[in-house]
Amino acid sequence: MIKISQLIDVKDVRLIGYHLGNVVLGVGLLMLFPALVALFLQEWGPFLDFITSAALCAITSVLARNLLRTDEKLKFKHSMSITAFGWIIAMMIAALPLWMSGSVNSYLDGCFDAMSGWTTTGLTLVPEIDHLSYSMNFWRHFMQFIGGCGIVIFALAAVTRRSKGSMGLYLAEGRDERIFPNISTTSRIILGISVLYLIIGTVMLSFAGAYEGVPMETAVYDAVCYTMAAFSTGGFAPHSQSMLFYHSTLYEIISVIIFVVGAFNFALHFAVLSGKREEVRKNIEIVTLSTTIIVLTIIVTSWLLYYDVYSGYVTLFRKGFYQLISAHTTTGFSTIYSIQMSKEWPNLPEFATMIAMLLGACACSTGGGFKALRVAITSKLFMREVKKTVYPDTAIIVEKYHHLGDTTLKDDYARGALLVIVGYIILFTIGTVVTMFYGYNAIDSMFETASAVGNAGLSSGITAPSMPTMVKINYIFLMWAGRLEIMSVFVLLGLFYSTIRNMKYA
Amino acid sequence: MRTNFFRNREAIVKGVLAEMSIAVFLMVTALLICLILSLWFELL
Repeated sequence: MIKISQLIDVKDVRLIGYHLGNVVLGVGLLMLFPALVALFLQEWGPFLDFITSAALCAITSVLARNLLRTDEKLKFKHSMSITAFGWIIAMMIAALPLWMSGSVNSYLDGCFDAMSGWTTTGLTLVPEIDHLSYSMNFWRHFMQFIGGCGIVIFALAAVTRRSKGSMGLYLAEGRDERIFPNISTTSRIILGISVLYLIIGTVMLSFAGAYEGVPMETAVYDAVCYTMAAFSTGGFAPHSQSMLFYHSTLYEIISVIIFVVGAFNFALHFAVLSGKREEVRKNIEIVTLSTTIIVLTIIVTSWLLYYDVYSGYVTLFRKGFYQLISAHTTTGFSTIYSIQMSKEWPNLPEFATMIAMLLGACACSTGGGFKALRVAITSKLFMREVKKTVYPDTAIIVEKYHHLGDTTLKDDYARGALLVIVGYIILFTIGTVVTMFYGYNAIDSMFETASAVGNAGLSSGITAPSMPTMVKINYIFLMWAGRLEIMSVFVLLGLFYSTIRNMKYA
Repeated sequence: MRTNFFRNREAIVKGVLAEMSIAVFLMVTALLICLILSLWFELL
């Protein structure tokens, strides 16, 4: 007979459950923000949806925190599991108000939007975005803002003052660079930088709205929503037409400034805002990101001109370049309809935009994809290997790069970077095959999968409330795995595997 | 150290401008690319 204690360590489950209880409470507290917006705007229906969901979180959390109370130190495997499960639980909770308010067609669609929000992807299954209540729309954008900072670490930082071993949670959330050894200071700095840019972006977009003739209160509300989505490289918009709604070059320029800055590494933000401004032009991530953006811009715009898709350089800039940079920073704002990308654009620019989404933003940023630092490290590795074959055997080849200081390329950095890139490619392949299995064409399937796994949010038209359930689940999984940079997911799968093995040999 | 970071307003303002300059640089470069390519295809 199999004993439960042989399958899973009760202490591990208790520790993971206790911290997940904290995550639930943290997400419940976050729901009070849209509840306040609903109260202020007298939207009583959504107010009740948020308060009910928050109350459910409070009850669940009190039960978990009291029944599973423990003072055990977190190990790295616990952090990985808490993070991986924490994002799923956060998705399930955040979907509740969306589903209860009838904003989405089903609870699964609510989960899709919640995962898209937390992971800062931007794909949406809300059928009538233009008719959503202000508070519900605020919730969607607020999820992206907090998701960009890292929900598990913020939920825990908000609920518990100090947690032993919590730095592992920070690393498990796809943050591979420490700003401070102390997690509470690190999370405060990340939040401080995000709020700083939220204020700057809101002011800039509010003035742009006023200049374009938008009523002031609408301009400010839209500015808050757009800035939250732009800085977190999220891509949700309060209007179904995304950035196209305004037909405004000024809005587009300001949004590019915000999401490009949002795509930068938080450690780089900290260095630059602390006075090390030379990092902006010396840092290998910024150099790599700028280079790939410029190269892909040449490819996309020349092909769009060759096929006469857009005439005039300003239109080319506003449509072609905007889509590309939005994809590369994994934001997902759009100045064309998604169906235009699929039907009007030739295959090469669509493919180049897909590559941009896979390459992604900077490491330790709000963005997704391979990350510029990993692309740079892999390029340096290739250069080193080529030099090894060309130079005499006795030559010692050392590759150096500048990332918050001069660094020498080490084998374990290169191995780590390659592993994550290979992991992304495996997920991308699986996701594309699943999408194609349901009858979608190859290029659109690849584009939509790259958008989900790279947390970008641009669409070739596949993402719609009517798409098959398995494709929705496939994209939810890809968004989750892509945001956690694969490793947390593999650790979770490893734990499941060891549990099953224990069951087999018990 | 944390308080120093948030209090050094001059460094923050200059840092914000330095970061935004990268976005402006990318946009200006892209606009030039669009202009040059448009002229090139016009001449062809």
